[in-house]
Amino acid sequence: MNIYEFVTNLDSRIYHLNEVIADEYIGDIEDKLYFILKGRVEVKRTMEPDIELKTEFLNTGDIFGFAVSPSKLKVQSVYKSIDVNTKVGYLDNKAIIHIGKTNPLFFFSLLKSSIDKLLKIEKEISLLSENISSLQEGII
Amino acid sequence: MNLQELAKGLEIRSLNKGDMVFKEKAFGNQEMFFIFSGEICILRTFSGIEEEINHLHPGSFFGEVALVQNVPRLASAKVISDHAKIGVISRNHFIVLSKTNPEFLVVLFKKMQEIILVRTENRDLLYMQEQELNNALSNDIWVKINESHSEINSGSADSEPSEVNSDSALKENDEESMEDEIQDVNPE
Repeated sequence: MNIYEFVTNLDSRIYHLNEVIADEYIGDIEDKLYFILKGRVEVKRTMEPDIELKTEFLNTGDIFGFAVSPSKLKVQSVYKSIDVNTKVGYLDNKAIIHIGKTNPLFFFSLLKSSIDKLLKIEKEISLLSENISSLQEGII
Repeated sequence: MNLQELAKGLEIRSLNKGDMVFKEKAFGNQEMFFIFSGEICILRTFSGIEEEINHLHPGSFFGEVALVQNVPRLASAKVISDHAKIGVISRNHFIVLSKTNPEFLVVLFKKMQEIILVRTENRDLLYMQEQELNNALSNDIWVKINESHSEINSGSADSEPSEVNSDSALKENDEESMEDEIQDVNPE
């Protein structure tokens, strides 16, 4: 089940190399769901006051947005095109509900996409926790 | 419309303190849950130790992974308030909700996206901690290597003949300057 089967008529835009697609600093992440239709996106995250976190890369088929972190860490993300031409599609709340009503599997597909990503992150967290335990034993 | 209104029509389960909604690593029904009342803690085992990874209140979802993937539960869910009421969302119910209550699923999807952001932050903090430990460990090894070098050098100085001639005096001076250099590199 591919999420793109449901979103054939997306509003979209082409971004050029190094062009900013979305920036939490100016608040355009929370209300839109972004689909990378073509190209590659770099996600730079900074934690206040000025700590740069690990840079992440998103590819064709990935989704992002529609939420901001509720944590107290104050992490800001900037999404930037790192391809010559990156095509990004958008859906707002109204469009998501419309597609969901006409395609009963759409929400299931969206949830599956989120969970696949979450499982990947959980796997990385487990691995990091194990490594940290071993390193702490080494130091003690 | 609040979450509780959105979740009307779900199958409700009443639970008591200490009841397990599901256990880590257990295969079970492909169901996720919505908390109407009470508190649930999510527990996960790391390196053999069970840790609380989340504390959930009314209006929260949990157990969503098993709804879309036929995998064992990643964590345990335990009731920690005196009583709790949870709504059960099965796969079929989820599909039905797309038509009857899509707003509910939008809220659920938004919560999932928020969880991803929070867990990404947690992962990044662990990544930073791992790097700091790696640095501390490599600095520690560097200190130990230098300490053992110093011991070897001071050991050879001890074995110098007590009879001092111009050559051995010259050699001692060289060793002193070498030790100084080592101390310069590693003041500790």
